[in-house]
Amino acid sequence: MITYWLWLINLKGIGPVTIRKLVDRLGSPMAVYQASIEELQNIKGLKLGQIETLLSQHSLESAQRIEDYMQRNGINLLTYDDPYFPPYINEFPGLPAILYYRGKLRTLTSSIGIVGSRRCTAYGKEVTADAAAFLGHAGMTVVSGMAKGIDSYAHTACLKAGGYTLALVANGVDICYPPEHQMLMEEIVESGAVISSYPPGTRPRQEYFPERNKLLAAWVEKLLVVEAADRSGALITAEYAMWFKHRVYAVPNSIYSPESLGTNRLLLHGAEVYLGPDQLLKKCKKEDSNNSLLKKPQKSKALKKQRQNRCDSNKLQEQVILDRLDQVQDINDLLDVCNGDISGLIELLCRMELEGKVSILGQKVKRLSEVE
Amino acid sequence: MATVVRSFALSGVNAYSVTVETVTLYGQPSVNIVGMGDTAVKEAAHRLEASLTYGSFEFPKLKVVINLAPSGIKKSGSHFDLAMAVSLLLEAGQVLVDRDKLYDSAFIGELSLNAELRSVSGVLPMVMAARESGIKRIFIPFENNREASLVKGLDIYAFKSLIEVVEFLQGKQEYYCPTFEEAEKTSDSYEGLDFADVRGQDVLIEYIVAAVAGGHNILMIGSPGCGKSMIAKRISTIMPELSEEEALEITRIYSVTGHLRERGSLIEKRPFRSPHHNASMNSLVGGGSPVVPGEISLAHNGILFLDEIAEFDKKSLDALRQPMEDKVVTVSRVKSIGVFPANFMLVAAMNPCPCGYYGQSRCRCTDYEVLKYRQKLSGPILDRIEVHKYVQPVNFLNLSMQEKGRSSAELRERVQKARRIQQERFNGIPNVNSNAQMSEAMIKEFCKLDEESNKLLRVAFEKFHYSARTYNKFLKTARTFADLEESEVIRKKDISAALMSRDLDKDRSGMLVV
Repeated sequence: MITYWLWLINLKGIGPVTIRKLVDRLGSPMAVYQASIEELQNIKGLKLGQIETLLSQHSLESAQRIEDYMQRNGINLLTYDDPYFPPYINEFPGLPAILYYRGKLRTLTSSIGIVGSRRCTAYGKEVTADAAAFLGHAGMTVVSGMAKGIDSYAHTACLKAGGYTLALVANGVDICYPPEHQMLMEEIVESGAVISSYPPGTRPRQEYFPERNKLLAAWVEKLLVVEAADRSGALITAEYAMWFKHRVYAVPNSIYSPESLGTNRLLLHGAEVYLGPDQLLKKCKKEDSNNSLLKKPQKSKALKKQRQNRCDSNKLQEQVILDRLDQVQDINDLLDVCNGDISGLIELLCRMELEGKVSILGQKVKRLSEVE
Repeated sequence: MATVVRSFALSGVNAYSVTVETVTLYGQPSVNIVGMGDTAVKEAAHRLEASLTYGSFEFPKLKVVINLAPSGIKKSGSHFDLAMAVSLLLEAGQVLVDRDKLYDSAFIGELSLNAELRSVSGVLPMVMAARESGIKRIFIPFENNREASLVKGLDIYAFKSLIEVVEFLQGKQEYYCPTFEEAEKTSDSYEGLDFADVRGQDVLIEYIVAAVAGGHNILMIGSPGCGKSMIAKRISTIMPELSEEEALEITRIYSVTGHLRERGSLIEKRPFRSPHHNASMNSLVGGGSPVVPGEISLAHNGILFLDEIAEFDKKSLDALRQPMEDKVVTVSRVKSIGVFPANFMLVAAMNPCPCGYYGQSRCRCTDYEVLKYRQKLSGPILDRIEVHKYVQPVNFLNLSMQEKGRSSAELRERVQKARRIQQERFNGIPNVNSNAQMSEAMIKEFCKLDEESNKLLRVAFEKFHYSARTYNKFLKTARTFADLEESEVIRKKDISAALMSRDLDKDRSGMLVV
């Protein structure tokens, strides 16, 4: 059967719309292959040239070659009549009818897209990681594009949380782009899937990305845009998603940050303000956001608890250090707490780090808020 | 019968005895030098002719054959000139000396066209070889006198010209020992470099002290201009003072490579070599024809600083693996093998990520890119670097910047103390004299942990997912931290300090990558 599908999509002049029409009417691609001229003429809207192509080009050689290659490389076909195929993709004309994938598909649960800029800030990374890990834990599908930056963090965080993630790429699923994501791609194939509308062996090209973005926007129920610069791919995805009437959330950020020009603009144009990952879960109603106005941010509660803990312990130096760490401090500036005793300070900080109270990156010491 | 005069030739950093045999035969006047000499040796014929003529001797109008025995080994260098000249003069009967008296004499030196003696490289190993082979008198160029005088136990005659040599041999002239000022022994042998200049990096310096004390290699990771090079340059100032033996080893290498010609005295400070990252593999480990020592040997008993280590050719870096383990490097060629000492401390520096500003707000590198950048440094090399520390630029406006840091002398004191403890510990164990060189069995013996420290290690391993092979490295560095504070046992605080010495590994665990 796969051979006939491959034969069908490789015909010139036969697009996704025609494929759907043909297979719907005749029942299977094999039936299309064997269809007589009369049968084809009976189908409304089929052009003369298309009928000619369907009747004359009956060589299955190249289709078989592709099939062989796909079999050897563990690549499968996902056709539009497959139960795993997101049904709403069929509702919009122009979206691919046949996809290639590597990995495991599972019955459709609600899938959330997370997209953003390749060159992201630490803030963007944190938001992405939080959201993707949350969704992963909650058993949702995280969909992204396996690009650098936000995309890769979304996949990674979801995988690390034991979640299920799909990568929609703009090249053949046997090609890894960008190359440093080789390991990531294998992991996604292992516990998710890499999906593409481009046949195996296709190298990424600039003009393929908007197509991919459109597919991604159609695939997901909700889309979270973390960081997007002006005129970025993430914005295109968001625009498509809005066009498909999917919910779009944008992460608010400084109006001076170039990485957030796009997201802030999205907010202006009707995207919802993203305040936390639980928004992505429930059938979010408008009242929820009203309620959250009255709710205190979660963090302050945790902070309070931490403060209390601190008072219980009578480790004076530790308290002094924690108090000082309202902002990130250089380790050398904390020396006076221990009266210049370097090894004493190192021992103290090492213990605090292992207890999860601070994190030390090189010489920078940062206080961690307690995880609940 | 041929006239025989003795000289020496270099092979690596060692020298061997060469006999220069000269004979004059009837035939077409010509000079033939045989014995596998290179161009410099062959061209000696012209220098001989010119300098003999200039020195008012008569160049024999006969066929002259000069043989450098053993004839089967390639020889190079211009230092055979003096020996050839003397033997030719003797053979031609222009100088009358009791040949038996020359049996325990050797000649080293290059001739200029007007019969002056020029300094040559490799005098120190040659004089050392001379002493070993029972030579009593050695004739050398005046400029090499100071270098040659480092060897005791034989008479050194330093002359400025061939004529002086000949007059002395004939007994026409007495030799009076030229006095040269002893090189002033300044306490400040490092050109004013001192750790006191480094402000606000106290914690990092603590780790550097530990690295030097335990013989651990160190990698500093930091953004451009944060002071990596400044610190690296000062590391040799806190290394223990050179022993006489070590100083001779270094001087010997520098003598062979020609770095000594100007100063000509014993090298008293630990070398600091910082080859640029375009260095070829041969220039790093040694090579060429004849085989000469490379940068790692020039850094013997000192510091090899590889700035931007990620930019070095992977092949060149991997060639450092064996020397780092064995402390010597063997350069094998088809016809010769050079074995050079290479006991250096590796100090490396690199940027944390492709843009260089990892951890700062301006950095936009993704974790995958950062990891890929760091993978340029091969695992085996990273494996041999025990201490990885981040260096961060200091805040100049900070108050603590006004205070002077701890001085090099103070730090060196601590290093020396820790080294003494290690020397006692490894007394009687061949090839081990620092904590870094401990084998697995030794770690088991010398790095026992109490229950509490063990627990700490376990927690850290769980939290940061360290690999099993880092376990021993933690123990080694912890041993050094304990030695620094003269503690017999490894305490919890030593383990804590060691745990903080692997910034790269720790960072790896915090990265959002699969």
